[in-house]
Amino acid sequence: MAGIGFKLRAYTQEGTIGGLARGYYHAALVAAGPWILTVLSLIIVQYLMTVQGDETRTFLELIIYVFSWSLITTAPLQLVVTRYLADQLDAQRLSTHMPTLVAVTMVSAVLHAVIGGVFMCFVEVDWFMRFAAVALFVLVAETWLVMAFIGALRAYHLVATSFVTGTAVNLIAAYSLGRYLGQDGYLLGMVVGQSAVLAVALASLAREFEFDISFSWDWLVYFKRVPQLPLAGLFYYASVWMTLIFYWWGPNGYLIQPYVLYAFPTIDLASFYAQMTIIPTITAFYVHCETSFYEDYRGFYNAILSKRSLAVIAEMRQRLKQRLRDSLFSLFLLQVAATLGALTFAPELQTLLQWNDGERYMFRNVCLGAVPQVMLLFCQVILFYFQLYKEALISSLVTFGFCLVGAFLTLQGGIDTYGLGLLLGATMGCVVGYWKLFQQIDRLEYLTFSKQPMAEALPFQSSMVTSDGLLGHYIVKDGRRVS
Amino acid sequence: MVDVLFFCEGTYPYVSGGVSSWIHQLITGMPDLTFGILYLATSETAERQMKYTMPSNVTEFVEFYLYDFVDFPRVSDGNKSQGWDQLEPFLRNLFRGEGDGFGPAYEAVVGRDGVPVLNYQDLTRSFQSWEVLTDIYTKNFSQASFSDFFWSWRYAHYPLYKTFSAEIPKARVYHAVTTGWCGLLGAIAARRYNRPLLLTEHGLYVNERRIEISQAKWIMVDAPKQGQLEVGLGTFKDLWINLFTGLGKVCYHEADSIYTLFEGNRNLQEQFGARRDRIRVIPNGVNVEALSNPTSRALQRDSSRFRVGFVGRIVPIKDLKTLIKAARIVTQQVPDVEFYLCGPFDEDKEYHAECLTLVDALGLEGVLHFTGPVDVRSYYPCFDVQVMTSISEGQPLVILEGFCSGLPCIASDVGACRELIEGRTGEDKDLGPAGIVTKVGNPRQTAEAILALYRDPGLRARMSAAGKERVQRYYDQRELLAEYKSIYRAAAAQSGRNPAAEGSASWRA
Repeated sequence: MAGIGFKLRAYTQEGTIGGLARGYYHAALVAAGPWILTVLSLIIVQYLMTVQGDETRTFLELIIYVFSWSLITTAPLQLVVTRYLADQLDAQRLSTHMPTLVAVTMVSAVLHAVIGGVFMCFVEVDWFMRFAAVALFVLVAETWLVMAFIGALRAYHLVATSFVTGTAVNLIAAYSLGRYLGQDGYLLGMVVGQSAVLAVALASLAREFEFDISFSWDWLVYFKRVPQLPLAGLFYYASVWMTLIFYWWGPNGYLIQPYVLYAFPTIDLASFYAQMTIIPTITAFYVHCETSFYEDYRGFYNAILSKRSLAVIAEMRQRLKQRLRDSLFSLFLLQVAATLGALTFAPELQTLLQWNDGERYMFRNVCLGAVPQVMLLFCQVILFYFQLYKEALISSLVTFGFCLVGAFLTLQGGIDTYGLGLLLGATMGCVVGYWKLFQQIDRLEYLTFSKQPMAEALPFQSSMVTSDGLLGHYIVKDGRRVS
Repeated sequence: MVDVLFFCEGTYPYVSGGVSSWIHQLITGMPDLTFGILYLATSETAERQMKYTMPSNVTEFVEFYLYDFVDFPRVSDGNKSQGWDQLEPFLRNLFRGEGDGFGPAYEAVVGRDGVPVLNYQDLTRSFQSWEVLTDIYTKNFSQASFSDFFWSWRYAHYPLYKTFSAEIPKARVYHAVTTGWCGLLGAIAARRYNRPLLLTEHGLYVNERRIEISQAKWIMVDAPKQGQLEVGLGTFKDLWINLFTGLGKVCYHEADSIYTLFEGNRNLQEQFGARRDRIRVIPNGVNVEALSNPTSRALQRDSSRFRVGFVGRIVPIKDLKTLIKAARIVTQQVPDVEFYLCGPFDEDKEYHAECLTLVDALGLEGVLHFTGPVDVRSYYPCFDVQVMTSISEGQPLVILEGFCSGLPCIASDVGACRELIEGRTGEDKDLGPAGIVTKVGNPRQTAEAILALYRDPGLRARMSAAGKERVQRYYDQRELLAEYKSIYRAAAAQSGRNPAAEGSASWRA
């Protein structure tokens, strides 16, 4: 996303309040647009439904299932595609963007239709709601994936517009249809709104990269080449959402339908609200931290490419390390401020949103967990830049493991501790990720050079070795010509 | 198991020339022994055509591709840190042009039971390999481009590591015909199978590499800073030369016996680190009887033409541009002289093209002829004098072949040329000169020598007689074959190795 980050940073450096606002507005929407607008839509729709006295339980749970599970299932695809696109951009091969987009959205549509379809077969709702829920699952998953392509866009403002427009359509459709069709109508409204978001985003991409219905499957190779990358993404998102999912089956969660639909609406929405506290920090990361990091990152590699001495290369690495450390510290402070702000206004939010104590605890605990969570996210992004996928996977696995342990312990600890598993897991994962990141940066020259393949290296083949397993090729053996 | 296994780099059986003829001579001259050949090629893809019919007593022939870059996956086992402790001194020494520490390095890379302690990945990508590399860089080239150093280091060391994984057929005696990669493979074979290693150097590999590297355009050279005097060949060229010098020393010290063709080489070998008491001079020999009685002539007799011949490959090391320039000087003074350059030019087509351009520029068309590969035995009787302007030679067989036909020789003062022309021992010198020795790269002196022989038929006749007598007395191939046969028998009877490294206080294995 550094590409867009540079354009947005230019706005913020105009020196005017308007420029600053415009920069951050676009950055926030590009960085977390679907997320922000989905949560906002959900809050408003829930409010409208409550006001109208409609039954919201099944509708809300289905929406929460759709969003939380789609984030987990799309994470591996999204990271692989992002890496693939970045490599294509580096190689100036923009022509592969549309064929890749077509292939990725196709794969995702089939995958999510199957997963969603199978799941919804077991949910005891009418067929209309089943179809609508599967459609929403597919559309939301597509939206997350399309985000991977946004970084290469010049017309990023169109994307921001698409999210705002889509949300407006969403709300109007949900409200209008909901009035006549109840829960089915609200769900259908969400489907229409999400379709609008996706349609505008896809149209923007098709406009910029020239519409082309052909398929490119080259990105699939990355699953084999760097299997740690999709796994790191999968475990990161699984960790974050486990904070929620784990409690569904706990003593305070409740059953909507045996073996199929569990929920804990009290804490689910509070957790969604708390997650929004990371948006300012993510925005700042894309606009400032990632861009300045990218400059240092390029500086380091340019020193190598321009044949500088090792001392100069090491100096560039040292500068990169110091500035990255400073940036991460600033982001940490920003997130702490955001969390403290959210906690300070928690009583007001409780009154406004009519939270019970369980929701307040969950909000507080997830807000606290958001601090290490967002820092972990940044560490992972930087690890991905350096292609340190193994390290990213280790930190994701540590997070996942400790989130599990934390969730289990808090389940015993009572409702006021719910959500603290994220704090524990993300803190441990962040510590490991940070340690691994700077450990590897300290030997960045080694990592860069040692990974270089020999020019025109041949893939190893068994015909290159003799029966003794040594390199060579017999022409005459035991007096007989063999080749 | 073969009796003798030769290590050949870019020579027999794919390239014709002095060394290849010598190997072919030994193999065909000893039909009662079995031979093996390990041919070092640059790449599997390079087109090769055998220049010799493979004798039936060659029962093992393996090609090993030195510069095909392959990530060869090998299992490794053992204490890697200890392995690096064993290997590191050897690498540092090689970089300085020394060969000490080969034994421990061999054990680290090859392992005692065939399972290496350090595999290819460890050698090229481990953090320890990085530390060695950066330490050498920091201590020696801290201002140079690191990227250039890194790639020079990698390309220089890749074949080094690869040779340790080479297939080497079992043999009673291993015989390297050069140092460098061949010598290293010989040293590895000798240790792997505990069999003696012999080394015969015709030209000195280190010297030839030095010439080649100093002229190479593919090696990166750091530009000297303004106002700074340039000393040496340039940062990375020195690195390569040191590597080959170090490899030479490894071979000298791992070899049981060292042979060369003439005294001058023996002195140089000693200078490059060989023990003098291990070096023996065995001159090349030719089939005097067959060559003295040629059965055919390639050119018609023509007493009105004075014919100057060159026999050899058309390659830069033969410095044919000096001969072409000399031809120009000669033809300016005497009109009835013709030059024949007999030998293949497919080895370096670019050089051949340059020579043709020079011939054209100097107006020598019709006077100077490139015959391509021919049966040179039918050309010797047609020449009046043979000329050789090489910048490096061992003991050129073509001079001896020419002597058989009574051809005086004008040759540059390289290798054994002076010994062949003026005599090696006192008794030999008493026979008188069989030609004229000139300075290297000196067209005028070469031309003057040709003109001297052209103008003085009496001198030509005296030199012709001296050459004939010399080759009959000292350079008959029957002597050479008998000599090597007894060396092979003695070495094959040995129970194991007896390298020069053992018994030398100054050498640390």
